[in-house]
Amino acid sequence: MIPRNLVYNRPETLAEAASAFAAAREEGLQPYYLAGGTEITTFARRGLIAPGALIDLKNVPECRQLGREDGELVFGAALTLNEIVGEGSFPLLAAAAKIVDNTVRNRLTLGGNIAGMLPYRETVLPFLLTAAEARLFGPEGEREVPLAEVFSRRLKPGPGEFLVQLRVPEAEASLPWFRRRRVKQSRLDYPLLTLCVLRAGEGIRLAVAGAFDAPVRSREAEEIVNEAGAPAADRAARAAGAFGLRVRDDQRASAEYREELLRGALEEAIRELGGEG
Amino acid sequence: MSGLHFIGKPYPRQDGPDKVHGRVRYTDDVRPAGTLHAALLTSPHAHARIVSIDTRAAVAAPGVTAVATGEDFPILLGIYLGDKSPLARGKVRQFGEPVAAAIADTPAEAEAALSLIEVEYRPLPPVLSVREALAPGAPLVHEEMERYSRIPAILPEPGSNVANRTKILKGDPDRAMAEAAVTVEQEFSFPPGDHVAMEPRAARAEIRPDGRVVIRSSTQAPFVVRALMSRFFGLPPGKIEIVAPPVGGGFGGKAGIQLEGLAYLLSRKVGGRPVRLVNSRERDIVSSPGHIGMEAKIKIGADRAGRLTAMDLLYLFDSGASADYAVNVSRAGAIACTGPYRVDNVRAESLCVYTNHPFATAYRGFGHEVIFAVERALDRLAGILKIDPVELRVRNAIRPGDTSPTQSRMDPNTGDLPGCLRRAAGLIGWKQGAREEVGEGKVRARGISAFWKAPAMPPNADAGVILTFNEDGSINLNSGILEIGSGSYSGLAQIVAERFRDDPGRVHVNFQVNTAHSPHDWATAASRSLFMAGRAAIAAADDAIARIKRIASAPLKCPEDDLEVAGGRVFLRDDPELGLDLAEVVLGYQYPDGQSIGGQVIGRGSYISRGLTGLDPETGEGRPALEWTLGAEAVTVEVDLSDGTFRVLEAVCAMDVGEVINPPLARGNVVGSMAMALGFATTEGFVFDDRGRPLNYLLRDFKIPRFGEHPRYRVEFLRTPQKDGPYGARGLGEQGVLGIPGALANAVSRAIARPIDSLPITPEKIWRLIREGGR
Amino acid sequence: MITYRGHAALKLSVNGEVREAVVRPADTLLHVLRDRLGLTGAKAGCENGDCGACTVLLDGKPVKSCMVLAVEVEGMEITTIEGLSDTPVQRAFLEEAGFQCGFCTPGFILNAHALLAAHPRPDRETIRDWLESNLCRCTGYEGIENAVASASAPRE
Repeated sequence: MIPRNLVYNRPETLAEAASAFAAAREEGLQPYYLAGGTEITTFARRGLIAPGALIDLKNVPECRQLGREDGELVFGAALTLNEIVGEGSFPLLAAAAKIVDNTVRNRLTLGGNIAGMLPYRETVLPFLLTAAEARLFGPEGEREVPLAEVFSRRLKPGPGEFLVQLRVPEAEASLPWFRRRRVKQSRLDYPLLTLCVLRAGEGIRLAVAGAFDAPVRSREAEEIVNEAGAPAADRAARAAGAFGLRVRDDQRASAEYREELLRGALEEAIRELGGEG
Repeated sequence: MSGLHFIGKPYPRQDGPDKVHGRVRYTDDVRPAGTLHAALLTSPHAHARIVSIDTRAAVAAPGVTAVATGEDFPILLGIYLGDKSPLARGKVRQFGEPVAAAIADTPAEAEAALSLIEVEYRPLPPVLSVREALAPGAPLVHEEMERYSRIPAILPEPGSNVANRTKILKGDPDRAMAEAAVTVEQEFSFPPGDHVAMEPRAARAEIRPDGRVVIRSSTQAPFVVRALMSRFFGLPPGKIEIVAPPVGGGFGGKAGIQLEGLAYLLSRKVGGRPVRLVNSRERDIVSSPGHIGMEAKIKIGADRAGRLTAMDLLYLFDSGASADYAVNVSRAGAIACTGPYRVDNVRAESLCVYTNHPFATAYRGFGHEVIFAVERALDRLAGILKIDPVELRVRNAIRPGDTSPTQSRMDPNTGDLPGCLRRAAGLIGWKQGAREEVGEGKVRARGISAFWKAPAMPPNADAGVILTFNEDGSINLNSGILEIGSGSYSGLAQIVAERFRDDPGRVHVNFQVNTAHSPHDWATAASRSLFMAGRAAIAAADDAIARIKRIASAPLKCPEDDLEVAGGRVFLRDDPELGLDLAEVVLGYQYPDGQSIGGQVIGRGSYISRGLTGLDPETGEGRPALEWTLGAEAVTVEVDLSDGTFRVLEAVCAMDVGEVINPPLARGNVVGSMAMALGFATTEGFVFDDRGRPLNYLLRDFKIPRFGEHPRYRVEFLRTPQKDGPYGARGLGEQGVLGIPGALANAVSRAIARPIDSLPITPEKIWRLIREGGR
Repeated sequence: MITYRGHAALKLSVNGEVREAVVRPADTLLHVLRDRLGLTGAKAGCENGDCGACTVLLDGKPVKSCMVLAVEVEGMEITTIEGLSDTPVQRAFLEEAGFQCGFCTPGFILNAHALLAAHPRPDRETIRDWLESNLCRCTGYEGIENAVASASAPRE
């Protein structure tokens, strides 16, 4: 149960949402955009956050959009993970969204997973591997930018801005793909490592969550993985060390074990998509 | 058993319809108006002095009636050793120890008030393990141990961190070990953990104007709560009413005294108004007690033929911040120290040691987890002597006439352990090979472990049953045992039905226990509820039947001995047409002219353990065990040698339980305990930081088994009758947990050809062992 | 735009009936069901989305009510265990020993009920997918697995 009461707003347009957020700020309340609510409720219960106002995005149509538009696939930030798992246009995203458990996936949203408080953000990985665009809305109105411009370790929207949609070029969404998720033991757990891979014309693109303290796409690792001629195991071992980030060491696994799993997953990906060199 | 109509049959549980319709009212499902809500502020340190607590802002917060700290309640509670303040006083001894309580009109207001309480701590060096606790110069967790009240059987050692020490000395272990042809010496360990029952602990307490204390609680042991509250708070037991509804899982964690004492004190602080105190899941895991940890160092000696000749055992139990049941757990570990084997020469020391870890209480298995160490050592011995591990165990299995570590002779009721071992081996397909490579870098292996357990309970543990009757001749069954999930009440109904030779549907079970009306019962724990309440039920049924016959003999004009009771009637044995419906008799018999005789029938039955004694302080000699249930378990595991991941494919149990009163319930109980043990052996166990604080006390991080991870289970029961058990039945509620950890560790060790001697078994642990082995 | 602050009188559709409750916007659906509407079948097992004992159905889909605010679900159809009576799933749980202490049972039954409505003959992977959302400490899942298999068996 959440100890401190809060103000709840249910806007029906993007503009209403942004202005409700700003109004709460004016009032001296700490506002949060609310989508699935799985993090906000549990973090507030434990006293990790103390939201003063919630702006519920679930009734803003643009945030729930799912479909094709102008050669792009549109994914509304307030779509639930089960809605994404069940939709077949971007298979790597559907695979990456199969996290938490089925019941929680009926509430946890794409935007909540990408822009929330937990550091794993696995559903951003497929988007990092494409020329995805982020559509945001804020006090200045709407803007659409390449995802890479507003996402680096986490989403960095402007003040009062929120993620409305992610858009992916249709062609890229149907590229050959590979996803491997490793856990400590229980299937339902934060990842020790999630590896997402697409194979485009120019070679393998890869992004990793869980192994480091933030999700990352590494051009250095990709270069190594795409070397012609070198054996897969060798490429995998070198690529695992090429991210330039410290491997996470925590109660779930040591850095050494995570690195071993990363190496193994990269090797699997190379064999499956890149061909043995 | 032949000739039985209702024993050994799968009767549906009477609590089923309520449970599948969500209509059972567990403790916190009843919320009378006017109840105040309490929230607890807990310690962020594992060991620290409390320098000051400022509650002024919290007291002034909206909705708050009162705020309490340890200074409000200068009393020490405990089951055997009075070492625990309901709210910390002077210092805190574990992460999560309750330090203050806010009482308010709503749960949200109580919780919000906590953040206004300011506590200043001075951290102290924490005691991080039993080894550290026993090292010279270790910080003392309890500096004033000599002032604690205690029962005579518990022997704490003031000036140290030892809360209890139990010694076993049988035969001549030094000589036998020196003469042994082969010895195995090894260390084993597992960390503290938790029960994680689905229902968090809950209590509601009030004090009525006449002084009556009424507490509704999720307890497995309402009469223990009453007795302890009477002792510690100076209240007459007849003025304490513990109301105990069905429990959402106990596993030992709700035996003893839990939140009840603090709830009472908080109610007292607010003038006796009803106060509700319910654990969040986090408090249930870390602030309320959990599963004890252990470090062991054992040495076993055998002759060339693999016959065990000597054991030298050191069991160090990690009791955490408070002794609670743990001082008895360590004692039980001593009583069972050798595992179910004949060993003529034994030295054992079993210590209950204070640390700054979360404290421990009773947990399914109750100290008999020491079997894990013995079973791992036996597999090593089997390897050295090149004897089949099953054969080695059969060769050494304890049999009637042999003595236990406390030199108590195993009676003819003793189960057939060799039979259990052979059945378990058969069920797991032992003959197909203990280890095989199955391709893609994976290995399949099997492991086996025997187990045994006796109830660890006071020598005067007892049970009672009262039967009353209704106008239609049906029966009401009242007992002091709780329905914690095992379905014991179905067993009792079937026993009474068997006595009356009438359908169990005619026996109406009362699932709520109230110490003011229910017959006394020691506790729903120790795998003895069906045994002891079953004996009491038989006595009560026979008592009622005798009274029925006495009343009926008048109108039927015959000797009582000529009468039978069956099918809802009392009738002449040699002329069954001549009789009466029970409905005409059970509330007295009324003649046609109106005159009434006999009065209502009330069946009374009780049972008390017989022949149990304490232990000699130097040798442990004594007879503490009511009965032993023996068995064997085995698992098949498949391990991926490249990354250490593994799957338990199959888990089997062969247990000698005598008669099985209700087969599906018995199976469900055993399967559930095997599942619990698999969790204990693999994904559970606290992980601590270097300040003694658990990192994984959120249910998100403390992983218990999930649907889909379960192996195929096989369970078989052997039938050596327990002659003093109800219809020959023996207790079985806990035993299924005891063999699984050893069987799994044996299987994985075999698979990777490296010994695994600590729990939990994780993929990373396996991966490291393989790497270190230079494969 | 709807705004709730302080306390709000909320109309909720529960088990086919319109129920009214006075709620704080911060109140979870779990607490409103239990404390305002007397529907105590949903349980506070962890209030962290990990155990599933709080499971209810929203427009037929299982959700963990400890992670849903009551104010979020106006206009949606809420189904609690009290809204199911003698369904095939409930009968199967009775016949196949799908419960012991019963605390997790309402959550499992609602989840299984929704599963079979969406997938009348689910394969093992789908059953696992759905049911791993709920924890049980008593049964070891064997009885639950048998109950769901029995309830999804083809009719003769």
